[in-house]
Amino acid sequence: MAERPEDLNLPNAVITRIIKEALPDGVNISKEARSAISRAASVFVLYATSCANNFAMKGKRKTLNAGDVLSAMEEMEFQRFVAPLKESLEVYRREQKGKKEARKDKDKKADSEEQDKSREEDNDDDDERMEEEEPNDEEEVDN
Amino acid sequence: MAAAAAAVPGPGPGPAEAAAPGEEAAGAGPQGPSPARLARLPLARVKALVKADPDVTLASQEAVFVLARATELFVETIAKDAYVYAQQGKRKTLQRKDLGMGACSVLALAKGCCNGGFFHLSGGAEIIMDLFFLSPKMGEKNFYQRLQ
Repeated sequence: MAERPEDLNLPNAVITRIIKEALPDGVNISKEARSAISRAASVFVLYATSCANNFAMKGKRKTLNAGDVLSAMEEMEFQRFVAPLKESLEVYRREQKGKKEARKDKDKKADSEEQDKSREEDNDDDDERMEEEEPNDEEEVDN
Repeated sequence: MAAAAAAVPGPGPGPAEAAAPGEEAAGAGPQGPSPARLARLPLARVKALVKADPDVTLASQEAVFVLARATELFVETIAKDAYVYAQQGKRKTLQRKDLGMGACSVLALAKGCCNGGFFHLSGGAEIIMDLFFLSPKMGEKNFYQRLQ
């Protein structure tokens, strides 16, 4: 029996929320339709990835970048997505930058505090630092 | 008149279900149809799909983000297109049959996808989705060729 890629599905709750927000109030969606859309969304990611990868390869690059994905959208006849995607990307970049700087500041503060304060303070800082470090900025998808 | 308004979102038991707090737009901008906001889909799940492609070596975090956002736009588009068909049928509940016809975007997806003629399909959204589950491994792209 073929292995069903169940874990490659996107979370139902999020998909449902996106659908509901796109529709006027009072409109509902059947479970089957929702499930179908969810699968189509997974398929969309796969195709878009493949398409984007072709652009990366054309550019002799081994890493997919945002530009490749945008080119893929055009190729897939979803040009109208490009503008909103570029906007979202700007917001995302700003936020990432903000996070990085916040982390740098926190580290600087933590360092000087460690030198002055007692252990209790250290523990608090450690906790904070762990939370900050979770979203790994430099992380890339690696096969 | 059992138009069961039972679109009660099942308790989808995904591990990384809700978008992580860090990923939701803190004080998002204008609430429009597609506001410039951060992704609601968990990037980890999207990343898992990207990794499923054996031809992909690396993907930047930005790329994964844009993919997630694009997927959301895609879902919105399909839902809206389907709604048009449901309305014609005087229904307030979207059903699966509304998707196949309204999903011209999905067909374009099926038809167009890079290298044009990558595969061709004649049946709309249903077929793409069924195929998705027929393929034993995501890595095997020859399932596309089986169509031709």
